[in-house]
Amino acid sequence: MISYLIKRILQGGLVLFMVTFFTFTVMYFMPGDPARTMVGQARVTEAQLELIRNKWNLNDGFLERYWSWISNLATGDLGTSMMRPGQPIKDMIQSASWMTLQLTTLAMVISLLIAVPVGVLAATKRNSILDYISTFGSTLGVAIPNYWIGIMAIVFFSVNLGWLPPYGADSWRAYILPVLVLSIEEMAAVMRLMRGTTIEVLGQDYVKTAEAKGLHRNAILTRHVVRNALLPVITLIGYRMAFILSGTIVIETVFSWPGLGQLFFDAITNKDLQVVQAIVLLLTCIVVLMNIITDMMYAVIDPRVRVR
Amino acid sequence: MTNEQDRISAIGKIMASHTDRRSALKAAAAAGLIPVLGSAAVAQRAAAQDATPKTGGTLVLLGQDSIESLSPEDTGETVQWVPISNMFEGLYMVNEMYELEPVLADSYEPSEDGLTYTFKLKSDVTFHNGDAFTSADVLYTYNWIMDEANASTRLANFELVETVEAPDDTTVVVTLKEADVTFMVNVATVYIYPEAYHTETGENDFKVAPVGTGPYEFGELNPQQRVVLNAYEGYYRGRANIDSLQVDVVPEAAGRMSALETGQADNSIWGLNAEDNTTLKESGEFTVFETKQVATNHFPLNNEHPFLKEKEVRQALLWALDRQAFADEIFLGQATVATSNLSPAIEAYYNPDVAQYSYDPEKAKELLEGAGWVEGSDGVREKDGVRAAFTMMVFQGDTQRRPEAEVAQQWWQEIGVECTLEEGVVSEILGGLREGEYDAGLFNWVYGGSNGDPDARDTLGTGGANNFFQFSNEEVDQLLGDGIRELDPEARVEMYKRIQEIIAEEVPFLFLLNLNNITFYANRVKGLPAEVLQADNLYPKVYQFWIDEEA
Repeated sequence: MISYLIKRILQGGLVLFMVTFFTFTVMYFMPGDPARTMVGQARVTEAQLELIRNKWNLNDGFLERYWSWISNLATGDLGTSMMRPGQPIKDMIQSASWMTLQLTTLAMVISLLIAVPVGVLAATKRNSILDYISTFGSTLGVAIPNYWIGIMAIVFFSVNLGWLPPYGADSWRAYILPVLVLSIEEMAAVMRLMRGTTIEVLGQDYVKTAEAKGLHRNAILTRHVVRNALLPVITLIGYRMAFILSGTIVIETVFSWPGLGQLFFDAITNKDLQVVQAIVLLLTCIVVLMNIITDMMYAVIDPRVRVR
Repeated sequence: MTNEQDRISAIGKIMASHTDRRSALKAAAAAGLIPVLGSAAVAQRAAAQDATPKTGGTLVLLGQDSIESLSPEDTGETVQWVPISNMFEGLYMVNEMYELEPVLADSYEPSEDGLTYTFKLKSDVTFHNGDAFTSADVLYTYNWIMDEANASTRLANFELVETVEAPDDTTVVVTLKEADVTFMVNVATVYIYPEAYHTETGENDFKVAPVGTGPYEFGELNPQQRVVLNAYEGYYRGRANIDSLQVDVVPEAAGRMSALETGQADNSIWGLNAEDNTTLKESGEFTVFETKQVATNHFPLNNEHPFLKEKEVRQALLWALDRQAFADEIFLGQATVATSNLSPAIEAYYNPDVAQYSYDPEKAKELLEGAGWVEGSDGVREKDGVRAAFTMMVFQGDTQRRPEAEVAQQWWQEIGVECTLEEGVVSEILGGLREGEYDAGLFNWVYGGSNGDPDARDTLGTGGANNFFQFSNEEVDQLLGDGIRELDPEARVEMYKRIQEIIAEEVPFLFLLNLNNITFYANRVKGLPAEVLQADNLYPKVYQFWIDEEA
């Protein structure tokens, strides 16, 4: 177990290095001149642009810049931002991550609370009205892009009914729409998976055995079925939490949510290499960690895994 | 992302996008020199305003991009310029009627040779931290920008400044290397730093804790969310009526639209979709200012391309376009056909009497035939082994303008010209066109009129930093050089009118449209002027507005 964990952590370290190196390479060779971006449409001369480039070390070579980044990182320094000149990147990422974390955690909790029971119910009552409705709903939820749902929600709840603010993150009321919209896709995915695995588990021999020995139906469901059916769902949750950004970048844009997704987008468009690197580093860490944690969770829930 | 248009604008923070509002700013610089008369471009409002201002409330504006800095160094983006322009002031400003207006100065006196400008400053002005404003602050600011070590974004404006002196607390004397009539607009409008405070904090810290002389002082900043400014009690022209000025960051155009519709916001700094403009105009809930943009919506062409290098070819391409249809169908009538490099918004210099190109495909064919371009076997013309073909670069996701390229492609096919469309990233396309690596593009840019002056040295001059066409014309270079030295306003107008004639004749780029700039203020906002030529220049006047909750 311990040696397995160590091996996974070492692997993770290698992944981290490769991913950050790759992003750095892509960002470095990406066309476009940050100096021109800084001056916008103001009148410029080539000499003036050169001054700006020198000031921000944009003329340094690839290895020079990568080395300075990695050696700063080794001392725990993520550097300062170029798009917000002089601002410590650590602070920028901290506040943005907190906003995104709230959004994704709330959405995940809500979608699990609804999707798991509904998925199990749909599986046990196959071909019932409930089953049809949940299957139809989850298909729709996966198929419709969430930015569309987001905009429709704004039009309906903010513009037409005037119940909720159309953007911002100031009061609890502002959380409702983005959290709900974000949870719809998660909900749909979890519900489908939960239904499928439950049906599969219901057909297993040990369930039949439990039925044969006269165990109460609810006991079978909670003790045997749900516990086994949850395993793939946990993998899915781990996977989805790891890809926090991909899901929220769009929602953050639609609802003007000051989170990591928006920061990432801004950093890329501004060619703020250091900020992009820091976010990629953070996300890769999350993915690696989530994978390790998911593996460990398996061991906790399913004793069979522990044997390995 | 539903409104790709806005993402595009965010991308690269380049005003190459559909709205150029910021650069439209101080148009007709020489408005100080040349009086501007009323015209069709003036936005008129019928309703008379109640004359008793009330105090209180918060004015909520909407921006499309995060607010990264509040220093006068970083006014390149409108969403940053608006709060900055409420906290900072220059000696002079260009107002919403394109007139030069004294702010921190009371008056100025140019010498006869145009080389020396003497400013008399106001004496009762204080910065938000209580420090008195004096000529030392002006001296400090100008010298800071001119110090190459600071790599200021405003350095180019000071190219012709020789020295700055402050003989006493309320006098500033600026000496130029050569006469430059754009001086008042480009230099005298530069926002002033507080010397003591800026020296202490340094530019980087100043960006997030700014101190100026303007009607509003810094409150709080969350770059991705909002900036809040509060009325400065010690403002020398009297405290602002509205307590707070807030700019919310809403990247999505649909989000800005709903915020305006629900009354959560009073005004959107960044434009909306054409359809939304129509809806809001008809709602009756807003004061509407509809003016002309200074930027030109255009297809830049590489003038060194084997096919595009011939003047007749470029003219033929223009004859083959029904630009009125672009205005009507794509921009829902919120645009007019462009005639040359200058927009009619730059009224004093605008020249309508130039070569005109109506929609006439036959004329286009004749021109091509005349120039020796004959149809090949595949229907595409050729000459000396060169095919009449080129590739046009369109910004990725630019859903609003892309139809122009698609329709043009078909019209050109009808005259035997092959145009291939490709998508690319904004910065890559702009860079590639500057270097002459691409054949053509599609975006909006200002070709004179930025900073309020018709000067276009960096876009139309040979080797200019933003010359997207490899355009080089001796007469134009001469006129552009003389233009900034000519002290006689009327002679100067003639120079820029002549430039428009040459551009209309040479067609270095296919000028398509001048788009309208439509600005909305919620009805509760009072104290707006009756007439506006440049609606963006109203933002520094927010301190005169007031909010009437009952309206």
